This record gives sequence, structure tokens and C-alpha cells, in this order.
Amino acid sequence: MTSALNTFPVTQMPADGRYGPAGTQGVSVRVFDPPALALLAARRGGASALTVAAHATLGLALADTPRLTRANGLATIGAGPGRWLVLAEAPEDLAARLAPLAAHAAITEQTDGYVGFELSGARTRDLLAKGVTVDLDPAAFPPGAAATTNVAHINVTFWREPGDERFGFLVARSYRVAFARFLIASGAEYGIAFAHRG
Amino acid sequence: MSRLPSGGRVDRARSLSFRFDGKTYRGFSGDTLASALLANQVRLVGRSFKYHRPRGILSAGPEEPNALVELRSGARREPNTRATVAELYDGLDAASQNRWPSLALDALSLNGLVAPFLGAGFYYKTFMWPAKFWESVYEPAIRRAAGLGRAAEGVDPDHYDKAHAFCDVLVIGAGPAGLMAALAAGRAGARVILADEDFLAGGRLNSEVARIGDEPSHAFAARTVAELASLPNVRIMTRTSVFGIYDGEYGAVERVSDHLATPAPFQPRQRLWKIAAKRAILCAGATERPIVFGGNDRPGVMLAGSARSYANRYGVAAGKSVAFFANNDSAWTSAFDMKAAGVNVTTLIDIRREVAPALAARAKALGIDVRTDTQVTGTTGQPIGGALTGLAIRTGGRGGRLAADTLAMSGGWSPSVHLTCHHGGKPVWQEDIAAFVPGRTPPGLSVAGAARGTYGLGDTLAEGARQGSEAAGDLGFTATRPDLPATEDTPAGITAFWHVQGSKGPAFVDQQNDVTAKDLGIAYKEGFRAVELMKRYTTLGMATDQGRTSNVNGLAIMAELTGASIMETGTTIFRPPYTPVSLGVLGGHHRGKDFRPTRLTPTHAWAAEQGAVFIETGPWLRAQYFPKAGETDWLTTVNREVKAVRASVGMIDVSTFGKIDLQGRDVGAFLDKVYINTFSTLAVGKARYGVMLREDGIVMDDGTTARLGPEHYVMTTTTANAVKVFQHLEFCLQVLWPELDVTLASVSEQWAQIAIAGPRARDVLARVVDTGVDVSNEGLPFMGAIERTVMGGVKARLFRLSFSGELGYEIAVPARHGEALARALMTAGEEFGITPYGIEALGVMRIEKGHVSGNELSGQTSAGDLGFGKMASTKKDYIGRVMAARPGLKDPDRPAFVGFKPVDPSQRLRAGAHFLTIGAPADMAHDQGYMTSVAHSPHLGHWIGLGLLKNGPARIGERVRAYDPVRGNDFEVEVCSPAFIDPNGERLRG
Repeated sequence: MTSALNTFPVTQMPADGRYGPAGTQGVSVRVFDPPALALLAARRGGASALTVAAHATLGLALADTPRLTRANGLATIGAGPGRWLVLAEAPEDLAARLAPLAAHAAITEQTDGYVGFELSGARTRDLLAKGVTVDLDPAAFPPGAAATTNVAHINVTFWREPGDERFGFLVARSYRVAFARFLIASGAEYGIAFAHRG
Repeated sequence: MSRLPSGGRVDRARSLSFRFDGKTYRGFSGDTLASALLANQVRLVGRSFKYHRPRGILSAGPEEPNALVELRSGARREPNTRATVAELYDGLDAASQNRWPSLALDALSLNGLVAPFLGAGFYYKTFMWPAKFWESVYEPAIRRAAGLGRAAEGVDPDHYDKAHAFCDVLVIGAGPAGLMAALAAGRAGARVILADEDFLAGGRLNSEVARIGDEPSHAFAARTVAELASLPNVRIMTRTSVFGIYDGEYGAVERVSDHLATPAPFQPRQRLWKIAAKRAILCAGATERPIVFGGNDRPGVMLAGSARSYANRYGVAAGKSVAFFANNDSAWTSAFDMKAAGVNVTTLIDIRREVAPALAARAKALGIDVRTDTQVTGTTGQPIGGALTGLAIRTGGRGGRLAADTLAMSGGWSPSVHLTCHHGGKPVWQEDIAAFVPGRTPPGLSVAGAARGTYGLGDTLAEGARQGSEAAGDLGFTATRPDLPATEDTPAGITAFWHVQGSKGPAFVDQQNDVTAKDLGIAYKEGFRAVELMKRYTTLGMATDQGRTSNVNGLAIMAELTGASIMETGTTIFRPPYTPVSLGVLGGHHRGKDFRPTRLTPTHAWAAEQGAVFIETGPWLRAQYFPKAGETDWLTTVNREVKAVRASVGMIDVSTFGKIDLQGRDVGAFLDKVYINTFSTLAVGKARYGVMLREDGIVMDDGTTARLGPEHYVMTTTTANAVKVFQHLEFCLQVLWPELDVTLASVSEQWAQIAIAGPRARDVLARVVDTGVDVSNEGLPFMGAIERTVMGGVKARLFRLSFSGELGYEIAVPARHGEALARALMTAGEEFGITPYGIEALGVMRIEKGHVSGNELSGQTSAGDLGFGKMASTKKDYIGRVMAARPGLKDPDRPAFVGFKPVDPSQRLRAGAHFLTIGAPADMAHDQGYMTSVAHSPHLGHWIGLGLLKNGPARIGERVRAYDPVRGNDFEVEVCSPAFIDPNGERLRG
């Protein structure tokens, strides 16, 4: 059967709607622009000082491991040794909020560098198995677990949200259509609902 | 009908219609194409690859060498499909292959011109005479006959998928050993994947008749599968072939929709699995071997266990009168089974002088004629189609004849050791079972059951259970071994036997490749005795079946010829894939435009609105040019764009450049180490052009780096090298100078960047910056870099840079605002006729200006070659400095960067043309370099070029010959400065 990819061009985000056999919906995708996002990268040898400062001044628990933690409206995601993506729940001047950490870290604005994809639904893991080379069994990848990896030749950072079968992805902006194509190609057999900022 | 009145694992309530060679037949759900053909008494299924001999069905599994068909039609046509594994579906349409014009007509042609063609005579001999028939008859016939099957010509309408799976224990094969292994590990709580290439789990339990506990073997299989299916930690994957073992991963193909006429909507046809398993247990069973004797390839000659499988699993009698020919006990059990199932088994021929008395007694009780110490020396067949009618036999020295339409043969069993060899393990010959068993296995893999030469059913069940619980135990699960039900073990005696000496007619070893025992004799005589040489000389063991039924016979015959033992002779190497894997499934969704991801610039939608023609540059789609109505060729458009920029103002999205954020105390010092020129002196608010080398002294990349703050810099790289440069800088920081306080971040995606260029560029810029932002020559001088706001509070980085040679700026805004910036610039520049331009015009202008780009940064050029020699600092060390000083790179005779213009201005220059001194012969000994980039300069009205010419800068004004034999151009060009316009840079400083 013809691939669902033939239903939209490689140069446009897919239209909101359902893709796949009638009457099925195994996965829901919501595309969102991050309200505010920055990269926090510890300066040479400064990871422990940064961790202490982040906790003392902003109440953030930076785990130096691929994990997402949340505090004070900010999610921090370990994205490499001494590197965290800081994702705000609401629009804000993240650079200003993180400024007290500048002595220990390089802070780089990334709000526009990424597009977010939130996936949920009973067949989400079946879809993700088609691109993610990480074991997503809840025992191996519990809520809060995160990974920075490659999906269908696209770099992504993703994590599992609490609750059933819910995952967040950050994808480089120029790859957003390519990533959407991966999702729809892989999810159409289960039925996939696609929505922007829904 | 050859369908037995009852029995089999087929669903007799579900009758299916199918076609073979255009004729309609009926079969049942649960049939394979092969079992359904046999049920319809279709015995002739195809013709052989080389000799065009009639062939039938040899086996009942993936080892099949003969019954290869074209399945489906049109764009879904799939050649070389093994009828023995093709699951029957309603409406299945298959055709025999390698015959012309049809299987039946081909046979009829026997009576005519090429009578000997299908007889016992050799194909080659047939075509020796009459000579004049070669061109008119034989060659066209051979050409039609050549090859096996026809590939589909249309685009595959189906799609394919790839997926990853993780488990504690992967069990490969769902026969008795595999079921018990999966049950033991699954009950212990381990995550288990049980994969089987068949559509019905159970393996031999469905093909044999044995009691396990108080139930028949197939019922035991069904019950065990049901329990496994009920365990949430066990995943059963039927129709899934594990085809290779790689580094910690197992490759498998799941045939999701092969058993359907067309896949269900949005279902893939097949799915490629990469399975990461902590442990794996190979329970792949064993493959029966044929015996090599004259005429052993006739339709009607098949493997004994397969004939048994057709009777027990499919309820099909392979023939009306079935004789057996064997060297081992398993064939006797097969014969007894089939007799009990209602098949007319007439005779048991065994090469052994004696067999176990119990077997002989059972045969007698069943009324089967037993011929021990007997060999089959030849076969007779029907004149049309060649199907078996009788056997020539020899008992002791005495010949005889037997009538039979089916001969079930068994030379013993070969464990399916293939996967155990994928990490270099070599199988080991085990004399008592006359078979190769696994040697060293890949890490984490154990082997159970017939795959390791354990043939008894009870032993197999026990071995599977033990290995399953051990694997789970190793991984920390508490495993108790499942209770082992009582079984009756069948005898498995064997006397190694390969080849009937002195038999009549070609004795086939490899039926798929038409390799005979005689061919092996030739290979021996001609010195191709080592197995790998023998394989390649004779083609034994090649193609879709990879010699499953022929390899051991072939090397055993070679061992007989050389006098070496079978172990000494050894096997050829088993490589992945174990079974044919379609290219489509390896590609998955990555085909056509999805071959790789497409990256879109922030202004893509705007450019599309403007009518841009796009071009792929790496993964990016960039605007190549923006044709206007009435412009019929790209050059017209590009000339207009270039002229508009030089006359007024134009704009282009340059977001694709790599952008790297550098922060820290030591960035200046770091940049000094990676660039050939000095950056530590760069003032805040300024940008500088830099060139970086590889460690070997060759230019890696160029670009500008701006200092935005005391400890904050931003570097741009070329589009092509964005990743490579980032990697290089990370390597330098992590490995070479970890003490430096420098932190990198890619900001390529964060910032949209648009270049505006032309004499009115400042006017346009002034209209998009916010009130109070000074973009005058004083406020933003040449090579200035400042952070301000545009479009009413949008953060922006403003750089005064020029690639075109005109007054130019690059404006960076957060990517979400990129499209708005493009629109704002169009509005702001409307008065000046602002012209969007693409990378063609960008290229023309950089060539006019004499800037190097990708064509010159070719990975073969030094800084000196490209005219950057003076830029290289002599006061500091930097990557590539030492190696750039090698004599070869310092040679003044090296081709160096200069410009070229045609002596006859009407001539079109071509990149790739080589330079020759006028009068010198056109050969490599006189090569002087080559043209790297050309463009039509609307400014000058003729073609211009850049290139690398020996000692070029010293030869300005000289004429050389530009020789381009590829496109047939050969004319004189004048060497000139690469800066064709504004050599003093007055425009860009204005």
C-alpha cells in the first residue's frame, strides 16, 4: 500500500488531521514552538560548581546524565556531559533568568533552534521503535529518562513524560518537516493524529 | 486429487483460489504455493538455470533450489520466490520462470526442432549443430532462457519499514527447542522474542507425528504457543527471518504483508528489525540433504522429510506411489508416517546392508518393500515434462527397475549452523551424525536442538528448556525449568553416503546452479580443490538457496576426490544474510525524496511564493534563482539578478552557513590556534575573515568570526563544512587543549541570516532596524558586528560583510522571525527594486570578485595555493602550520589561484578544463592545472573563470590553452587577477 508520505510534499509541514486507516488512532502528535529554550554548557571543569549554583540560585537539580528534571517552571534535560537544555513552560527571558549562572556556564539562546513534538497514545512506542535505537520499555526508560540521539538521520533530544506513553521531542528547526515525515510514515499504520500547537 | 482425505494443519473450511501459469486451482488456508500445487498434481514447476531441465518441488522449506516462481504481476512481480515458503492467499497469481514461451509449450517443443534439448543430453552439446541454427534459433532461445525470473519494471507500489526491538532473550526458531527455550525464559519473567520464518510456529512438530505427553506434537506446539502468547513479556514474531548477527544486534525481516494479495491500507509490505538481545538461543533446526545420483533432479524426486511434511502438515500426498532412498533412519520414520497418513509408500531403498531390526519389522508390518544394500542408479520420466516414472536400482552388483512417481530421498541432516558463523566461527564435523555442528558461536548465542546436531525429540525439548532457563538465570531471573513431557525418541542411525558411483545421467549436486558431480570432478582435475575455489569455479552453493541442500554433498565429494577428510576440507564461509533480503526493506521509508532528510531554510515558504527554483545543496534546499515571467532560461534570470545587485540591492538567505557560538576567557587564544591568521587581537564589535587548515596543512574551511563581547564570539563556516568544523573544534578542545576555557554551541538553527548587498543595501537596512540603531559607515563600518534590534524589538545581529564585492550586510534574527525579516526587507527595498537572488547569482558574484568557495576548497589546496599565504601568521603556531611547510606544499610550481578570461570573448569557459602551455602536447606530463569555477559575468559581458595554474600569480597576462576533451573545447585563455571587479574593494567599503 502506498506510503502516507505521498500525501504531502517534503517542503511543507503536514496539515492538521488524521493519517492512516479510518477509525484508528494509535498515536497523537502535537507540534509546538518551545516557549523559551537555552543551552546551558558548563565551562571547563565547572560542572560541579554549576550544579551547586543552579541549585542554590534557581532551585534547579541538574543531573549530569540524560534525564529530565523539572523545577520552578523549568525543565532541564541532560544533553551531553556538562550540557543541559533548559526548557521553560511559558515564554520568558531565559537568558536573564539564567544569568546568575554565567560565571560557571555558557548560556546560549536556542528558543528558535528547535521545534517540539509531543507524542502520546497507545501505539507511540511502536511508532518510535521505527526510528529510536533506545530501549523504551518503561523499566529501561522510565518517566524523566532522556536521550540525545539520531532518528531517521535527524538529531533529536527526547524524554518520557509521566503517565502512559507520552514522549517529548526537540528537533532542529530545519528538520521539522523531515521529522514529521518520519512520524507519519511510521505511525500511519496505527492511525496518527497530527496537530500544530493543539 | 493428491489431497489426503483428512489431516494436516490446513483449514479445509477455507478454500482459496489461485493461479499458476494462467490456470486456476484451489488450495486451502494454511497451504504454501508448493503444497497447493502438489495437491493439484502439478509437478513440473520450473526449468533449471543453465540446462533448462524440467524441475519440480524438492523441499518444503527455505532450502528450495528448484521451485522458484514469479509471484504476483505488474509492479509487484517478485522473481525467484520459493513456492515452498510462499503462503497461499486467495487470488495468488504465480508463473513459472526460465521457460519459453510457456512451461507446457516448452515441453512440446521437444518433439520438434530441439528434441534433445530436454532429454538427458547436454545443453551445450545440443547447440553444436547445425551450425547455421546458432544465430537464428539457438542464440535467441538461449537469450530468452537466460537468467532466473524477471524483476518488476514498475516502481514498487508498496512501502517498507524498519524497527528496533530489545529483549533479554531472543529465540530464533519456534520448533521444539525454541518453544521450550522461550517458555523457560518467558516464565522466568525475561523479555523474550521468539522469531520464526514460518507462518505457523512449531517447526518439525507440525511436520512429524509424535506423541508429547498425552497429545500429538502439533497440539503440544499450539498449546505452548498459546501460553507464550499469553505472557506479556513474550513477543512471538512469525513470518520473521533472523538473517544475520552483527555487533550486538540481530537483523531480521518480518514479512508483514507477503501473505496478502496487497498490503492493508498503510501497512508496510515488510519490516526490517534490528534486535538488540542480551542472549540468543539458536533453534533453527536442520536441513535434509539429497543424495547425488543420476537423474536426481526430476520432478517427483524430493527430500524425504519434505514429503513427510506435505503429508502431515498439509494433508497432501506427494505422489501416487512413493519410494524412499536413504542412508539413515529418519527416512524410515518418514515413510512410516506417510503410510499411516494414507500415502502409498511402496519401497524403502537403503544403502546400508543392515538396519535396526525394529525398523525392518515395522516396514514389513506396513507392507513396505525393503531393499537394503541398494542404490538408485538412474531415473526414468515422462517424455513431456520429465516427471518421474521409474527408478533404476542396483543391489550389490545386480541391477533392477522399480516403478514410482515419487522418490523421497534422504542423505541425512545438516544442522542450520549459518548464524553461528557470522562472527567467524567455523563449523565442526561430527562423524557419528555425519554433519557439521556449530563451532565457536557469536557472543551471547547458544544453540539448541537439531541446529547443534541434537535430533531426538526428547533431547531437543530438554536442551531448549535448559538453555532458556540458563539464559534467563544468567540475566538475574529466577528460572525453573519447565516440566519435560514424555516423548518417544525415534532412531537416528546414519551411514555417511554422498554419491552413487557409476549412475546414469547427470547427477546433480546443486540443482539451483545446475552443478553436477562431474563438474566437481572437473574442478578437482583443474586444481580448484579448496572449497572456496571450488565454489567459485563451479558456482556450487550460490544464489537464493546459498547451497543449503548442496554444500555438504559438494565438499564431501571433493573430499572423496582429494582423499582429505571432510573436516580438513571444511566449509565455505557462511555470511549474512541467511536468507534473501529485499533491497526495499533495507531502504525502508528512505527512498525518493526521503532518501535523506530535507532541511528547509527559514525563508523557504517565502522563496517558494516568489517563484524560486530550488536546488539541493547537501541536505538543504536552497533557492537557486528566482525566474520572472518571460525569462526562459536560467542564465537570463541570473544575469538580471546579478545586475540588480550591482546596480541597486538584492537579498539572499544565507542561514545555511554553519554558525558556532564560542564563549569563554580563552576564545581568542583558541581561534589563534585553529585559524592561520590572528584573532586574539579582534576588537569587540568586529568580524574577521579566517582560514583554517587540517592538520596535514590543507585548507579545511573559511569563514568569518565576529566578536560580540569580551568572551563571546560567533563563527560562520561554509554550508558544506558546518558539521565538520564543529567536530574539529570539539576535538581540539576535548583532546588537544582541554585546559582552555572555551565552550561551543551550534547556533546554526537558532538564527536565520539574510544577506543584503548592493549600493542601496544600507538604505534598506536602515529601514528595518529599530529607531536609534546607527548603521552609518561610522556606526557599522566594514567588518563591523553589532547586536541590536530590528522590526520592532526583534533581537538581531548585524554584520557588515560582503561576499559579492558590493556594500553588504548580513542580518541574523531568531529563526522564527526569518520569514518576517525577508518580507520586511522586500517592503523596505521596494523603492530600490530589491531583488531576491539565489545561489547561482551568489556564485557569479563571488567569481567576479575572485573569492574562493567549495570548488577551490577541494581538500587538495593549501593556503598558499589559494593566495592566503600572506594571511598566515608567522608569529604563532596553528593547526596545519608544520605540515603546510612540507616541500611539496611549498613548491612554487604548485598550481595556484588566478583568474582566466577567454581570448575570444565569445567562448564559453568550462570548469574542469585543463591548462597547457601553448604548443605543448595534451597529456598529463604537460598538465599545468585546471579551471575550478566559471561564470558568465554580466558585468564584463563574457565568461570568466577561476582556476589553479602552475606558478599562476607570476603569469598574469600570459596566454595558456584551456583544454577540455570531455566537452570538446580547446582554446586560449588569458591569465588575469582573480578579482574581475573592484579589485581595490572600494564598493564594499563605501
